[in-house]
Amino acid sequence: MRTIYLLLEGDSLAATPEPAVPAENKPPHKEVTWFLESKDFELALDTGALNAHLERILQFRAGALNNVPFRSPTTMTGKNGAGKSLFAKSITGIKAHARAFPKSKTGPAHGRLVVQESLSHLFRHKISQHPARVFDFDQNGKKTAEAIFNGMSEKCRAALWRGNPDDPYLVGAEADPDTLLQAKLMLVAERLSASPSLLVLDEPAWGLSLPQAQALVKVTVEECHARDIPVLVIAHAPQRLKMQQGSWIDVQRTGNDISFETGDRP
Amino acid sequence: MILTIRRTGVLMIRPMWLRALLLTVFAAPAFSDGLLRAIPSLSTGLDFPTSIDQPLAALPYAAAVYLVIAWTFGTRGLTKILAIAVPLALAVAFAMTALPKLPVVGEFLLGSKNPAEIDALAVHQFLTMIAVIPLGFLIVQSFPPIELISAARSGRSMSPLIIKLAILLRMYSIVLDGVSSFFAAWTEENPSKLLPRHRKDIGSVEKLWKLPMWAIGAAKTWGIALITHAIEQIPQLIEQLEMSATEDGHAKQ
Repeated sequence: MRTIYLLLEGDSLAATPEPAVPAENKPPHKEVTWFLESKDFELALDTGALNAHLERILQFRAGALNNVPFRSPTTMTGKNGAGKSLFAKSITGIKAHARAFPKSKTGPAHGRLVVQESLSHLFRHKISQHPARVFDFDQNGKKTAEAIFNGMSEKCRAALWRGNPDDPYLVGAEADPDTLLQAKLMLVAERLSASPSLLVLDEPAWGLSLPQAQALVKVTVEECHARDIPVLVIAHAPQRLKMQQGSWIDVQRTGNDISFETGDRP
Repeated sequence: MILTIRRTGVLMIRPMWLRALLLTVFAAPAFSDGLLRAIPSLSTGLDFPTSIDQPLAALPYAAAVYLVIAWTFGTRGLTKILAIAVPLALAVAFAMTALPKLPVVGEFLLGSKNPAEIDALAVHQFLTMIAVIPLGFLIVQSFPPIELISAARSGRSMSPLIIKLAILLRMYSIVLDGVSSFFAAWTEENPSKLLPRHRKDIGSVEKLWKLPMWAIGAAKTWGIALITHAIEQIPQLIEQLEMSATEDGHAKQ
C-alpha cells in the first residue's frame, strides 16, 4: 500500500525523525536572466462571490519592474494577500489583460505557472494520465515531457534517498506515480517541454515535507537552467528552500495599492 | 472564524419564510407560460396576438429579474450571472435554428413543424432562458447556507429538511468555488480556452474531426473534476453540521 503524505508548509511528520537536508544548491554554471515588459495595471481581486461589495480592484505598480534584469532563480516574497499569486497569474497569461510579459532567451511570451494548490492542474485525473490528456495532439511534446519527468524524478530520488525503501520522504513509485511531489514534477515537466519564457512556482513547498520541497526546487532550477529557462519562486520563507542566490522581488500591499521592491542576492 | 452575511437587496427580507414566499410569487410567471403571457394584456388592457405576447412579457420580466439581482448583488454580480446565462441561451437558440436546416437529420428533427415555427420557438427559448437562468441564480443565492443553519439552530432541534437544504446549497457554492479554481488551471493549460495548448499534430484538415473530439474530452474532464470536487467535500460538510447540531448538547442561537 502506498501513502500520499500531505503536509502544510512548515509542518513535519511528527513521528518520523527529520532526515538530513539535501545539500544546498550550488550556484549555476551559467547565468540565466530575464526581464519583465510591464506597465502599471489594475486587476480585480475576485472572491468568487456574487456580492459586488466583496470585490476589490487592486492597482499593481508593475511599471517599476519594467526591464529590470532579474537573475534566476528569482524569489518573490510578501505577506499573505499582498497580491503575489495574482501577479503570477498576470505574467503567465491567466489574467491576460494585465499585459505583463516575461522576456528571456526562450522568448518574450507569457510564462507558465504551477499554482499553489497544484492538484487543480490535474483535474482529478491520475498523474500518469496527465501527459496523455494534455499532449493528445502533440506526441513529440508528450515524449519530451515524459523524459523530463523521468530525469527529474531520478534526480529527486537521488537527493532524497537515505537507504530505506519505506522512507516517507521518497519520491514515490516509478510504475504508478501517486505522490504530490510526483504530481508537481509532472506539471513542471509538461511546462518545460515547450520551453516557456519563465517558469513560476507558486509556493512549491505546499503539501510537501521540507526535504521534498528543497529537492523539487533544486532539481527544477537545474533542469530549467540547462534549458535557459528562468525560474521565479513565490515563497513566504525562501531561505527554508535553501535555494541558490538570484534576484528577489518583494511585494507590498497598502490598501489596494501594490508596489514592488527588487534587488540581487550578494 | 466568524462568518457574517452582508445583507443587501433580497437578503434584507426577513424572516426567511417571508423571503421564500415573496421569491415564489416573483418566480411564478417564469414557471407558468400562461401567467407570463397574461402580463402584457393585464398591464395594458389590450389584446395581443399570441405570436408576440410571449416576447412582450419575457423582456420586461427579465428586466425585473435583473433589477432585483443588481439590487442584491450589485452590477458586477449581475454581469457575472449574465456572462453565464447569455452564452448558454445563445448556444441553445443557435442549435435549435441551425440543426433543423441540416440535410437528412434536419427533416427528422423538424417533424411536422415548418422552419419558421422552429425559429419562433428558438426566440421563445432564448427569451425564456435569459430570464430563468438569472432567476435561478437569484433564488439559490438568496438563501446562504450559513443563514439556514443559524435559523435551524434557533429552534429546539435542527430540522432534517433544513440540514439537507443547507448541504445542497453548500454543495452548490462548493461547485462554484471549484469552477473558479479549475478555470484558472484550465486557462493556464489552454490559454485560448477552446483550443489545446499543445496541438502540433493537428493539421488544418484534421482540425475538423480532432478538435470536436478534444472538446468532448474537455467536457468530460470538467465533469469529472467538478463532480469529484463536490463529492470529496461531503464528509467534511456532514462533520461540520454534526458539530453544530451537538454543540452545548442541543441547538441554540
